[in-house]
Parts: sequence; structure tokens; C-alpha cells
Amino acid sequence: MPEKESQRMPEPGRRMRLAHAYIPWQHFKNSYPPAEALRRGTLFPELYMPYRPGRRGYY
Amino acid sequence: MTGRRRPDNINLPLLKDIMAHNFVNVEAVLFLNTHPDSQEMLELHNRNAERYHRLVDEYQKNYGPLYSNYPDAELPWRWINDPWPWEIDYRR
Amino acid sequence: MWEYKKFLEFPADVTRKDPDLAALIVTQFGGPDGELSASLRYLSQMYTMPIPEAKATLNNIGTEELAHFEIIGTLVYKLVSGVPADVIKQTRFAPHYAKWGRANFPEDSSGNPFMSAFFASHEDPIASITEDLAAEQKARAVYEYLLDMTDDPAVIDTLAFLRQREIIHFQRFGEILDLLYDFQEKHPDKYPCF
Repeated sequence: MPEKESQRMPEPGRRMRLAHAYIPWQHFKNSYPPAEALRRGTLFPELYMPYRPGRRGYY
Repeated sequence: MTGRRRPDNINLPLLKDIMAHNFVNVEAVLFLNTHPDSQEMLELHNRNAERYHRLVDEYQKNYGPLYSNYPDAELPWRWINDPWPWEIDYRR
Repeated sequence: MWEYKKFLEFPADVTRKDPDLAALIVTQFGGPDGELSASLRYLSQMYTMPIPEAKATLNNIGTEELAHFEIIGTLVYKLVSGVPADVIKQTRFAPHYAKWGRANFPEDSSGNPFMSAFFASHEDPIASITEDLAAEQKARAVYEYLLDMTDDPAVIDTLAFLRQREIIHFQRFGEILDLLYDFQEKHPDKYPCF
């Protein structure tokens, strides 16, 4: 489930400190075939986050 | 005289297939740089690289060089031939 | 060193000539959040990175940004090539034509030339990678502004590809930031200021 993955927090047990930025780690699961990856701009379904006009900045 | 050289005949479907496999390499390399122990991605990387090089060999043998260090280059020197990447209509 | 491959990273195209659009898209050729700025930022920062993952990531993303510089150059070239001067005269591309003709020049959408003051390159790796995360977000935003400016389907496909790449790069720089925190904890001697 791409949405679930993108909302996951950093590694469980990761010591998180104030005033530090953290981005969740990506775990490889599956990939698009080459031509589809190129068309979408990524190999990874969980990172494909297209622009929806009128929804700038929400991805 | 160079102005009179005939442009290379390109094979657009094969060129697009090469671009797609090149792109998979771009993505696999970035992933491996931050996940250097990913066995699954390593396998995808190697499988894709092998296919990429086979496609590039086929293209360079039949339609013109994609790398200037193509080992079987002949005269007249074809690297300079049109079309350059920005001159190709990719919409077909 | 670098070696040129005689193909584009993405099959960049346009469905019609549009000098007005060229004058806007050129901002990703030589503007503050453009591809040249991104490439030179990462290829300047890589030398002093303390961990190998960061050197490799800056090297590879800096290289990919040069391929994006070529994609934007291709769009601008295709949007104006062969358009007669008396048509260009009626468009936003006229000031560019007065200086450069139809040649590509790294400038923003107001004609200001490229300058390296658009980016920073710090010895402190946290400062640099945090700048890089911001740079990817700013470039994503600019691609969304540009997508709002056109209905040309081929241009939209190309801009959407470049926008998606900013999201991937942001993810990778985020992972690098985490690796840098780990490195700091293991080597506090190398980071007296922390």
C-alpha cells in the first residue's frame, strides 16, 4: 500500500531529537517495468506522487 | 563538407527502450547508494545493466554511435552525425 | 570525469511552437531553482562530505541534474526553433531574441543571467544536505507553477517527469541526512561543534 508506506515514521527505535529533520526510509518492494518507470519518472510505485492541478504542494 | 553529411537513420523504438533501461539504472544506483546491502536491488541493477548493454550494442552496430568510445568505429567518423538528441521528434 | 551519452534521459518534446512558453520554461535552465543551479550545487558540495554514501549521492544526482539541464534546453530549443522573427516579436521571447537570437542562454524567466550565488556549498554536511532538501522542494514548486502555465500535452509529460525526479531526490537526501546523524553519533570527535 503506497499511502501506508509514505506515512510510516522513521525506523522503529530510531532516537529522534528535537530540531532535527527526519524522512522515513524507503524499503524496496516492487518496481515498474522500464518503459512505465520512465513515463512516470520513478521506478517505485510507493514514490510516484503526481501533481494534481489546484492541489499544489500536496503530494 | 560536414553540412552535406546525411543524418543517421534512427530506430526510435529501440532508442526509447535504451532510454528506459538507462533510467532504471539511474533509479537503481540512487537507491543502492543509500541501501548498499539491498540484495534485491542489486539483482535488479545487474539484470537491467546486462539488458541495457545488449540494446546499446545492437543500436551502435546498426544505427550509429551512442558513445564516442564505441570500439568498432569506422570512417567516415559517425559520432558527429545528426540527429543530436535535442533534434529528434519523439512523438511517433 | 564525465562521458556524454548521445540520447536524452527522457524523450522531451513539444506539440507546437510556443515562444511565450519558452520564455517561462527557461527559468529552469538558468534560474535560481533551475537544473544548472542544482547540478553545480551538488557537484560542488560532494568533495568534503564525511561519508561515502553522501559523496556518491551528490555525484550521481549532480550528474542527473546535468541531464535535466539538457532536457530543459531541448524544450526551449524546440519551442522557438524555426519561428520567424516577426512572430517572436509579438511574444515574451522578444527580449531574449534581442540579446541572443534563438540560442539557449542560462537565465531566469525575467532574463537575469545565471549566477552561482543561487546556491551554497558548506563544509558542514548537515547545512548542505538541508539546503539540498529545500532545493528539491523549490524546484518541485517551480515545475508546478510551470505546469499551470501550459496545456501542451508533450510539454506537460516532460515537466511532470522532471517534477517527479525532485521527489525522488528529496527522498534520497532525506536518507543521507539520517546516515549523517548516525555518523555524528559514532564519531563525536569529528564533530566538536555538536
